[in-house]
Amino acid sequence: MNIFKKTIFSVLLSLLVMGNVNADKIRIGTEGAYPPWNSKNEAGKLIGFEVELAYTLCRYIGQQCVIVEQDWDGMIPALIMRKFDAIMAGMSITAERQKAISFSQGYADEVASLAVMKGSSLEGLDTSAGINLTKPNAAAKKDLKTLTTALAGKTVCVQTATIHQNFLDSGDVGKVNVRTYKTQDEVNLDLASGRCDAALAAAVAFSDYAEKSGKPVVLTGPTFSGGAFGNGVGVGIRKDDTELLKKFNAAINKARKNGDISRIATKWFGFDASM
Amino acid sequence: MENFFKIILPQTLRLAIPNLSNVWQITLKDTSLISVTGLVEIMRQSYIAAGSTRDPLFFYSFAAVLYLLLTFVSMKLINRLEVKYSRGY
Amino acid sequence: MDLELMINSFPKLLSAAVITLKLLSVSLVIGLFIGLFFAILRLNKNIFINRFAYGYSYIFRGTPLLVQIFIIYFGLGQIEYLRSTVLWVILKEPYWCAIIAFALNTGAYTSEILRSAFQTIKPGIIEAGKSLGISNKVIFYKIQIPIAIRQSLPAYGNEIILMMKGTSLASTVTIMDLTGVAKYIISTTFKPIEVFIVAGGIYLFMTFIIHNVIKFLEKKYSFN
Repeated sequence: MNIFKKTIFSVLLSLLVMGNVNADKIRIGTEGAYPPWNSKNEAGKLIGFEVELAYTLCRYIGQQCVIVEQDWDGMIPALIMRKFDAIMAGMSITAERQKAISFSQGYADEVASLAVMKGSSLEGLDTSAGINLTKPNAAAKKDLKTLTTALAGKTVCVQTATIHQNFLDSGDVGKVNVRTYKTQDEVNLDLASGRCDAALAAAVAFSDYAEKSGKPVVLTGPTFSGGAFGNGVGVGIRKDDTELLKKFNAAINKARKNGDISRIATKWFGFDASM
Repeated sequence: MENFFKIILPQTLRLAIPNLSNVWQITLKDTSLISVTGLVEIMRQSYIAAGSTRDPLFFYSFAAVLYLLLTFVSMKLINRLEVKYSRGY
Repeated sequence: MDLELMINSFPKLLSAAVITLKLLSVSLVIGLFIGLFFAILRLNKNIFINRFAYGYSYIFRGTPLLVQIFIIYFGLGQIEYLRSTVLWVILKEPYWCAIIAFALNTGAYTSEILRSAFQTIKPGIIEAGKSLGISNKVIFYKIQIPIAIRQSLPAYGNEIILMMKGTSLASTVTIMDLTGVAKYIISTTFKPIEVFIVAGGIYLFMTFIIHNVIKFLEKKYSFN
């Protein structure tokens, strides 16, 4: 074997070995751009509720974990293509996603809300505090009507491939001009610049942004849950990976019983978002 | 073998360098597109920084300056190579 | 392979291709004027004007289009002062931000293509015009520009195709062009391969058409 062939051979070999290092570890995909659920600190390290929870769950499972960064819009395809084994990225459990992947039981819940800049004509809408869309009652229906009138012809910004986009596309609030962004950070930027009349996301995403940027972002209208907004946030797992699903469900049970989820949620959200 | 490295290759390189230089410049800028698939390079780093600091103007301008620097330096190096390989012509 | 998805997404992607072509044609027209303007500046003997034109083309050719579009859209949108000026009417719209970025980018490349075309015109042709008593202005518009355009057709055809692929970056600033709609379909079906194959096919077809139109024009305006 000449030296050239030897080099290629050893490079290939080392690639194979490197690929196997993580074989017995559970790889968990997260976005790292959706604070306080998951984000990056100034040093570029992944932090947030789900990063901490992921390590806790893995301790209960008794296996080591690696957290893999993945852009939100490619999250589910990446799981299916085995770039990682589980998703923990503030992903709500919805019927649409369940066609493609399985979910563990929910570990936390969030409400969604519209946000506008202070002084906007959409500030202080006359609605109830919160509505559930699974079986909308009379008050919820009235609120949707109020929103339909208020949002007519307005540009509402959301992150792409989210429950928030699904809700606006569903037509429950009529025909709004939906603009989709790759990350929530970009939604926040364009809300502040005035390119968006309103934005829709997890309420905590806006309060986190308002606090860190000092921008006068205010929530408006009711908070949303149920229906298109799904049933809590769970761990996304490939459909054929039933064993891992069982492991995660058991670990979530233990973590909930021991108060771990509540504790970590309170630390990152400022309130107990666990479920 | 020696024939190839000592005679054919130098002559080919002289003619190929300007075109290779073009391809290099184009590819250098296209590497920014890798950021879309998640590999961490200049553009992705700026993207993350712009997101977490909410200061896109600064970080994207900084990325632009870095790319300019890279093209400038590689241009200089390629020019040198060109001079080297056209010696005697 | 989900054939049904491919067939269903085809009409949606095809109508999005219209947006792509619109972005392309508007930025090419504006870019051509910018390119011609800067190519003429490059021929100027004044060193400051010359350097200015070179600087423009250097900066826009030396940085990625993705960076340029981000600076114009997210970067400029961040400047509070700008938002109170009349410029904001244009910069507020993602569509115009994309057009500005594309036009400035293709303008830089076009200026280089035209400049080298001007410089390859044989001095004899211009001298022939002068000896016939034709004014400098007429020589420029009726002789130099037509020859330069013919000279630069192959390179410019290349630039059009590069730019057509470049318009896919419009989707990064929320525009629903061919790539934008492809991403949207993927976001609800989670099947990137199928959708991108169809979108890629449409891009390929557009390249094929542009390529052949340029070839036809080259033949039509050839000197023989």
